[in-house]
Amino acid sequence: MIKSFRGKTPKIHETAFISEEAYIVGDVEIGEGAGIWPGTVIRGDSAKITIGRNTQIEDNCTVHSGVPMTIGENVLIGHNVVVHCARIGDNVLVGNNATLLDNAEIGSYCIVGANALVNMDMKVPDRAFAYGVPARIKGEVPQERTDIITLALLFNMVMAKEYKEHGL
Amino acid sequence: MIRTFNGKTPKIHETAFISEAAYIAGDVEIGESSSVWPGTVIRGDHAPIVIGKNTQIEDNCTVHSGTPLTIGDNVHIGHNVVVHCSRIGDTTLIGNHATLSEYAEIGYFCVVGAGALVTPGMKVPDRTFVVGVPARIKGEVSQERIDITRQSVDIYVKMSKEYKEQGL
Repeated sequence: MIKSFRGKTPKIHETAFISEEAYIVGDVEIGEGAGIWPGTVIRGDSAKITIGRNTQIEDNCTVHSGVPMTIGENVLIGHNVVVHCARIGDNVLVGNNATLLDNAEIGSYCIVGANALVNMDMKVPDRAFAYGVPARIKGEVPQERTDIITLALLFNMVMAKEYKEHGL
Repeated sequence: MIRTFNGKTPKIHETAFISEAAYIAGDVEIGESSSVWPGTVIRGDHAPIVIGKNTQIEDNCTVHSGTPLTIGDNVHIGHNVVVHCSRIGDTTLIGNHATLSEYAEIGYFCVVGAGALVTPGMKVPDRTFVVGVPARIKGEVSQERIDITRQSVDIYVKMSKEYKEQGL
């Protein structure tokens, strides 16, 4: 479902896939080839949410923020993630069930491990690997790992297209 | 969606906001000016669930219990929280992605940190801050923190009325 709120209607690129079971409301922009999967809620009521090209947000995530939020291009966000932060760069993987709290910023080419809790205001630099509760920086993301993320993203994009063709 | 189960129909105060993308079934009572946000499921099938006034349950939460569950007034529950406990007192904040297990009881003016796992049977005394996996008591909740909970509640009571007016 795609809904207006306070006169703002989500702007969704015609090639993006929005599941029939997703709920998107208010000041939200979604780029070319992006995919929003079943059960995910994106609520642009308190502040604007911008999601870049090819980015995939898997099932049952909640995306909401009190300050403007930007999610970059080629970002893969797993299942049941709470995205409440200010920024995610490009080419990032956010693992299943992670929580990104208020004003946190994730750089480009990062990995946030499954179940990680990224605390309020935490800055994760480019290419950093962070995980744990609360999340700590555990090292750098090797190029092989970035290549795997690119493949996983491509796989999701292809599937999103199929879903879109099927009207799902 | 609001559904009857085993002859029990949710009793929802006329001023409460129930999102069109929420699902509420069975023996559930929801008080004045409370709100239930997209993707949240409240399932009163094994036991009754009573929710007080001015309480918010944000997106993609699950509220369910094998024993009667009472959630007080002015409670703010974040995104993707699993509420499976027996009691939450008034003016308490439950952080994003927390899990409240069976028979747990949370007092008044408490803060349960984001991502916390409150284990089965745990009793959280009034005015206590708990966090971690498993959750541990970390101290007392300050007056300023209680005021922040109250502000969040006020913001949500107002915004939920806008959502309701727009038929969302």
